[in-house]
Amino acid sequence: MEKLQIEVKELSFSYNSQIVLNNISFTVAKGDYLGIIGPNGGGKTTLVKVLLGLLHPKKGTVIVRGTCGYVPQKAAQEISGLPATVREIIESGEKKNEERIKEVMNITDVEDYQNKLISELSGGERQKVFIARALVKNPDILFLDEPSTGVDVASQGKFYSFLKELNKKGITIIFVSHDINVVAREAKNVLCVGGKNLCFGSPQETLTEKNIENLYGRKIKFFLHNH
Amino acid sequence: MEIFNYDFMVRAFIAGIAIAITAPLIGTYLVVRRYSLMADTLAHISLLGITIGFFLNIYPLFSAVIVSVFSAIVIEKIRSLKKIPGDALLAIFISGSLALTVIIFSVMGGAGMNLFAFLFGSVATVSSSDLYIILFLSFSIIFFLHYFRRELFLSSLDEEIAKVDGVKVSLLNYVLVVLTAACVSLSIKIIGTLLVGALIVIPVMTAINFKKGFYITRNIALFISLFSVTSGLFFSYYLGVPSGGAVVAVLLIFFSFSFLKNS
Repeated sequence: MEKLQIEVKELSFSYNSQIVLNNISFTVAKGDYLGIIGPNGGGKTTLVKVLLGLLHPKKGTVIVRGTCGYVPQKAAQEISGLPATVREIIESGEKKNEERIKEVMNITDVEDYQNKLISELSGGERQKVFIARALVKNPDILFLDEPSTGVDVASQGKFYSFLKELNKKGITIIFVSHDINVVAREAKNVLCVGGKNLCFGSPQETLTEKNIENLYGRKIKFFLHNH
Repeated sequence: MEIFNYDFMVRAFIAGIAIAITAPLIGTYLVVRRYSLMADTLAHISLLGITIGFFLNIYPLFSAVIVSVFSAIVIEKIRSLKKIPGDALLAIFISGSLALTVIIFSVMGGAGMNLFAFLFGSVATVSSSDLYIILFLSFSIIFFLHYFRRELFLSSLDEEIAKVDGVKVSLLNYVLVVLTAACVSLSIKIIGTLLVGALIVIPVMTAINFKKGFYITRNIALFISLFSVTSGLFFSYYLGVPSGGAVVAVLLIFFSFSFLKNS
């Protein structure tokens, strides 16, 4: 039997009177690569924040087994005024473990600019730094919110290959994306959030024309890959 | 040196060095979080606390710390509700505290309070009791900032990342503004209400212009602050000018050079 990393049962969440997540249930197995899609304001980021414990559900239960790493939506785009080097940011994840820091910098390919200020890097490079920071604690699950925002089109393929490599090493990856094509191409499983009905399963099962029309309220063209 | 033959100058130097270390350490976290105006706001509130102290005939430094710490908690609470823009909230507190200060000051007819000294700083006003309180609170602030440096760094980088890493961000923000309030209240005697914000912000802004990492930036700010405060106190003594003005003038020279170098 597959070991479950996340169990969500009848989860509901609302901001004041506005219901964002309504009675959602799903499970995520260890080693899964889950893509979350849905319309703007549909609750994708809210769901991730509930899973991370940043927001508390109004109803239902959420069980997350294992340690979490998080790369928020705007971390790499809206750098705070903090004058920090790449190494300082990565060390803030786990300062004492120099061996792990070196290993993570090597995996994420950020060694060459470890002494540069984060503000001097491109969007894609910053994203890698924040992923490195999240990885340094050796998380069981890596959450990424719109990870390819700020990564130029030419580098996106390389970026997602890198995430796939991490997944092959056993890290469960959960990422939010507004791009159905990316989710269809990369994810092992897809969760649709924000439509009338929740859909969850493999891309072939979930990314049907009917489901997508239900989710976004209109027909959308996309390419479905055979995994 | 003749300057150290006077007890009040020795006290001013010891207090000045303690403040010169504390202010930029706190300032580093305030500036990067865009909280810079918080220091100025709390300085104005501290002046209200000092005036209340004179009015009620209680120890002014004590009343300044109490009033500014209480106000810092109220400001942070209102800010966390996100119903009023942060800068507008601080503007309300600056104007409100000054209005109350001038009302109380005129009602009590001055009551022996040297307003000019509190506005611009005066080395002669640091008493032995002031010095003990300044040293105790400065050590406490430095200890806290050192012990929680990773948590403060993380929450300055991104509050959500910090929360996922187990940092109690909200509590940390409250403690930071409370320590800022204490630091500002302690600095007033040396640097004055109207100029204390400069000691917290300018060394950090100057250091940021060197484009170094976080901890090097903090150390550069510390050096600039120490140099500016000690040289400012010398200028104040030998030129007979208010200490706050002299310290800030030195700080501005540093800032101008770093800004031009960076342009």
